[in-house]
Amino acid sequence: MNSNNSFFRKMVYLLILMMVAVPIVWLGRPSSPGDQGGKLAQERTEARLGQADLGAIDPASETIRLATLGLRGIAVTMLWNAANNYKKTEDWTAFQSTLEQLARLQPYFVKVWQYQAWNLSYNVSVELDNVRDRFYYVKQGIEYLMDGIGYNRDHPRLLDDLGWFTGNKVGRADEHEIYRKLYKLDEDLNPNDDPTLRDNWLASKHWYEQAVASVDEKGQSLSTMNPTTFFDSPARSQISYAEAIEEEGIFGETAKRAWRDGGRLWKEYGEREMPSTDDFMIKLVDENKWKLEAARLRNELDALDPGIEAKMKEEAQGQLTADQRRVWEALPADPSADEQKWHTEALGLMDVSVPKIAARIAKDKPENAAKAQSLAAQIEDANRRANLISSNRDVANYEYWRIRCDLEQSPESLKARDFAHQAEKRFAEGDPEGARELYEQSFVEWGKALDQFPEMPRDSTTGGDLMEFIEDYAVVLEQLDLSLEDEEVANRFVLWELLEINDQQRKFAGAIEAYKARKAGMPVPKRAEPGDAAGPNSLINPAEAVPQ
Amino acid sequence: MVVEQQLLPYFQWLLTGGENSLGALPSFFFVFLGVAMAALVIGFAIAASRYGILRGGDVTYKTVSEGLSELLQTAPRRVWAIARLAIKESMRRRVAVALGVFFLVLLFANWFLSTNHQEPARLYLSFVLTASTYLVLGVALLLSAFSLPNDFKTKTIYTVVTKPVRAGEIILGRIIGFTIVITGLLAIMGVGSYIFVVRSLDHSHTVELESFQVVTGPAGEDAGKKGTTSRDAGHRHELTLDAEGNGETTVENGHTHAIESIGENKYRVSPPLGFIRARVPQYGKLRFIDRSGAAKDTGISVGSEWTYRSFIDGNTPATAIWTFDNVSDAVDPKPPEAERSLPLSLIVRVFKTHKGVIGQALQGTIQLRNPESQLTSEPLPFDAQDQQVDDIDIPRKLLSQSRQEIDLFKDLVSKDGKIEVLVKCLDRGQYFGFAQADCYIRHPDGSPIASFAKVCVSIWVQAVIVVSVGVTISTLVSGPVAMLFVVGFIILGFWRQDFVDIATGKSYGGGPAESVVRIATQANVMVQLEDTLLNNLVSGFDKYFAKPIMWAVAQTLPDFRSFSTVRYAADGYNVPWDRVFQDVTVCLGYVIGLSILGYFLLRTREVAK
Amino acid sequence: MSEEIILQTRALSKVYRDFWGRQKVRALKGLDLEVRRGEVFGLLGPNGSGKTTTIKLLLGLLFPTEGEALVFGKPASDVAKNERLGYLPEESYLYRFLTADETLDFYGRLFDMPSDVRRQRIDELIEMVGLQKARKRQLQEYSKGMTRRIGLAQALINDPELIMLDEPTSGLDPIGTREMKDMILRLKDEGKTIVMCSHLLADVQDVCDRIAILHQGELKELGRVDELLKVADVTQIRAKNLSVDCQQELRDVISRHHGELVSLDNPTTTLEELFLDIVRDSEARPGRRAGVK
Repeated sequence: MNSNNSFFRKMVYLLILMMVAVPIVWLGRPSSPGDQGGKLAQERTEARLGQADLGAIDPASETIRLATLGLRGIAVTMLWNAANNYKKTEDWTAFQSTLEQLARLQPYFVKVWQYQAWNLSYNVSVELDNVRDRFYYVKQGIEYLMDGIGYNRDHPRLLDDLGWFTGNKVGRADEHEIYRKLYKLDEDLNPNDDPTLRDNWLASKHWYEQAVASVDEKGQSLSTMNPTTFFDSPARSQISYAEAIEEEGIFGETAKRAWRDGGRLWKEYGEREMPSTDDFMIKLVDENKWKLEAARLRNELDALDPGIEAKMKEEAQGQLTADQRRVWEALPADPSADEQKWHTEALGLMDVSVPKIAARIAKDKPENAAKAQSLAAQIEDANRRANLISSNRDVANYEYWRIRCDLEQSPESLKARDFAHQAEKRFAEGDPEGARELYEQSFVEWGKALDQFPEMPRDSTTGGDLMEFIEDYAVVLEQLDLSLEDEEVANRFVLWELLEINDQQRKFAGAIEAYKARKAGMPVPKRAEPGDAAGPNSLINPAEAVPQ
Repeated sequence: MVVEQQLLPYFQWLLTGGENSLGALPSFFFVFLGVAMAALVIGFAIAASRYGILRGGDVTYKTVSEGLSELLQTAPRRVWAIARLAIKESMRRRVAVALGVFFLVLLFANWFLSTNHQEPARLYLSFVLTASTYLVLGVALLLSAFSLPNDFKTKTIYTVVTKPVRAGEIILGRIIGFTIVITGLLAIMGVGSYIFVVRSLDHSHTVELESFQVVTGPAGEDAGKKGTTSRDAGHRHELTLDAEGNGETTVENGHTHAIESIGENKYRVSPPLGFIRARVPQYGKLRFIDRSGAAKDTGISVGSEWTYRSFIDGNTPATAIWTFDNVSDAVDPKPPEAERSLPLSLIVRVFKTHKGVIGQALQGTIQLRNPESQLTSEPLPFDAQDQQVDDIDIPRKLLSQSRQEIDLFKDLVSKDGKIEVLVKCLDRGQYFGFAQADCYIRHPDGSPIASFAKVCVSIWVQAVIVVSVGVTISTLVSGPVAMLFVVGFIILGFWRQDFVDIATGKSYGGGPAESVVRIATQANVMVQLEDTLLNNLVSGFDKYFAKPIMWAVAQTLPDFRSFSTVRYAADGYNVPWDRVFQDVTVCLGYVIGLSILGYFLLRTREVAK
Repeated sequence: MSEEIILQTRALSKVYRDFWGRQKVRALKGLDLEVRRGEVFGLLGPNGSGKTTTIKLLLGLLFPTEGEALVFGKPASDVAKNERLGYLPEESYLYRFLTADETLDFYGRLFDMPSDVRRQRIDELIEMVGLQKARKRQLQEYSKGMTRRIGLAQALINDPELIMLDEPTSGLDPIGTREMKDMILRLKDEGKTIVMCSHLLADVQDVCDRIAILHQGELKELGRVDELLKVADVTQIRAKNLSVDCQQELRDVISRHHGELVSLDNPTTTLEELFLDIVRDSEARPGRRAGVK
């Protein structure tokens, strides 16, 4: 009786404990993409609370940390080992679930999220053969990053990575055509079915914008990331989006709008004030401004003592020894050690730099000394800024993309791309003749478009893009038993200049020579067929191995 | 499923063993003998130091001879009395708490598991079964390690050993009692786990009518519909319905649903099917032919660190050949004899040296060959589904290579029931990888519940071994020490292979003493230690003392990892009876051996000290 | 009382050693004893004198360092002897989570008793020790006296020929002590042999036929209680209602017979006297006391 009573009492306690646990479970369940999680997780999402606001409060993570009884370090080490082992034995399911546990153990260790997301999206996905399975793991990596962002809100590095994964991994892989379709159809990655986030490039832009906002608005640090390549990301994703939809055959107003947005974002990027490697901020658009400023100041300096520079140069020339002078005037093709030394010395003497001029002015006209020194310092500063901006513009390839966005918006290039796309389709449908015509029309439009933008460098990415069309065109010609070497074809072709600059593999060397010869009125040289050089012992050519 | 160690048939395992291993019974005998000799020597040494050599010998002899006769006097009623006591003691020591913990774990499990995976059943099963294993082992550890020491501490043992109860009965009774408790625990946990997994994975869909597209047959008639289900539990299925509106969904996340029409535009979607399976594979023997047509034991390596699978090159004579025994048309006796087929399952690991056509699977062929007459069937093409189990039913009526009609079971199976399965890759520059377990004859699925129960048996086996060790060692030392000992035993058991590798010098970095030196001098395992006297002493110590002892200890350690059959259930395979019998036999060996050891330990101990 | 020797020790010695095998205590030194069937034998001695050690050696709970202990003519370490032996430990070392019924049932099973015999025996014993009302209660709820009684019941479960009682009356109230002594005498009447050890002299004196007095591990005195207590050269006079004159008269008579009056007052417990004498003597002159057989 007595013992029954106490047993009953204990059971009641146990039951009460369990019942207490039920709301805890309900409240504390962590969220995951496609699952809002428990009440706490929802509240946290709504209030956009991250670690910085809450401290390390996450019930799931705390539970697992408690469950390891303070042996978190050991547990983490074991899980990393287990994960490595699962990866080795190709047990992807277990690998992935181990990563999830790992992240729960150290949710505020950003490197873990980054490293393992990369592992999933880049290393695991390629281990699988089926494209859908591959995409599954790309997606798992993306979701893993999203989880990480849930814990580390407004972390620019994670957001930047997320932008990169959704953009580049989905949109630039060999399988990108299928990946992009699967991305659009996926219901986990875009749970609210936001139409602006359906395209992976637009989603990528969205995440990049969040990354930028985290720095701009939340005051997060860029840490070691390069600002020049960090801030251009949203614009780049927009441009990639425009490229991608054109590749998929969407032209006209939609494409134009996409390019316009790209151009706008790119310009905004150029006007953004960014930290630089020096102790001042830079704007990429300011290169000219600083160059002009330097020139203006230089004129001011020269005005203090007109003709001083020429005079100094003359004097310097007089100071050169015979040897120095000889090598300065003409450095031998294969200079000896002495000659090199003289050359350096001569260059040093002959370098009439701004500080030297300022010093000279100070000496010659002491009343202008202060002004000259100050001008010299300002000129140096302006030059430094101009140079730094210039090199950063090179890093971002700023000028090219600026022009490219404008070029692509022109009706001619939109038309040209449309023609090329149609040509490709026509050819696939078995109409090489139609394809040829369309390609030729496309090239004509290209020619017009490029003429409008003479500042567009011809050996740029655009050139590379066009080369693909030209190569496709060559394949079409081959089907028709024609070639760019044929006079008739060559006459219709308008992009010779571009072809010559961009034919790095010299596939069209024969055609170019023939064209040049014809232009110069010379006989057309005969050439061996390309491809004969490849002997029977060559490696398997992947293109051949593909079953037709 | 990955089968790195081939499972031997029970009697072969018991008596003769495999290629590189001794039979279980002979090795038990050797280990038993070794332990007995060691115990005798140590026992004599202690007795001699206490009573002098002559009397010590006498005492040792008496102890052994009395022990042997007492072992024969074991009375079931006394054993049962002790077992009942152990059960009551366990109850008193709140074994039920373990159940509480278990259900708490299940309650919180949903925090860490989600059904939104490619193989949710696998995750859930391995989680609950692993959790049960650890919990049961923990309970076994605590119960067994503290029971006898507690009796010593409270001196209740005085009133027990002054009854005509034999020391062996005290040990055996406790082992049996705790085993019964654990059996009960495990039964509840097993049922709980199974219900938890089934309930967690359970979900249903509705049919999305707006997604329907009518499918027309070749003659333009209405052949049914295509569409999708609603999105539930993080996924949706595509479905095809026949003209009557019944059909099935595609496989997503490892399961399908059946769909039944119940009136105009109304459908009933079944609960998930095929989540928990118990495939019954019949494995064959794998050999290879390389690209030049020569016979090889393994294929080529593609540079993977894991050497489990080896590869054949596509579009060359390279072939993977499995030989199966005991093949007849009775594998799946359900269909009528004329329609019977050979159900094969094939797992292909694809390795590509170039992308090929993106989105298009590589092609391979299967041929069947009679190993006697060398009659070979025409190649049957298949699409390689990388790392998936591909079920291929080979029809009975086949064509030979000379395009004559042949019967699979009559013409391709040799008189002694053997058949060869030849698999090739067709794509040039691409590779297929295989391990022996990657092709098997698929018998009808076993009962998943029975298979699940067999997994519980393997957990039970581990727990019983832990109980035996705990009870035995606790005759000698106090509770906490016994617990540490058993924890050490479990850890070594789980990492037995690494332990053996250190003992046999297979792993880098030397033995325990050398490791200490390396840690102290911060020399990593690959660095050659300097040729100093100290270092030589240290490695000599390892070589002639530590490693032989480690080796000897390893002989008595169970390989806990190999007991675990969680993989079978998680991967959806039936746990073979051979496996269960082997585990139970090993367990029995430990119980017997440890009871005898425990008898002598308790018998030679002064109870009242 | 027959001449059959139930229990015998020959030069029984016990040395306790520490973990490293170093000698710690010599608990028993060369004990020679014989107990015959049907007698009640008392082991007497102060705490730490070796009486419990002797019992434990006889039960096989300890192993002798030298000499041997024989029970029913077999070595004490032989488990078979336990069939005919009952043991009541100093405190009832019983499983506190069992009820009285379960306890007796458990020990009954250890004797391999068939269930009907066991049932019957349990009922008898429960009745004998008067625990009918508490038989379904767990022992942890028992009072000291009840625990003692269930302890005795378990010692008697097999109807033993030899019963070893370690401090049977310790912790009992006077009534409990009386009951225990009555029980011992009743068992003696049934022909059981009883060996008990105690430091309570009155108990021993009341029930024991023979006693051995131990001190510091050595046997100091052994013999029949009545003989041991008979001091030949001392006459004790006890009388009631004597007047002062009469007492003076007695003194005179004694002095007339060249006797010496030792005392003339209320007598003390004489065993205690003897006991203290021995202890004093032993501490003054260590070694074996003369006159021990």
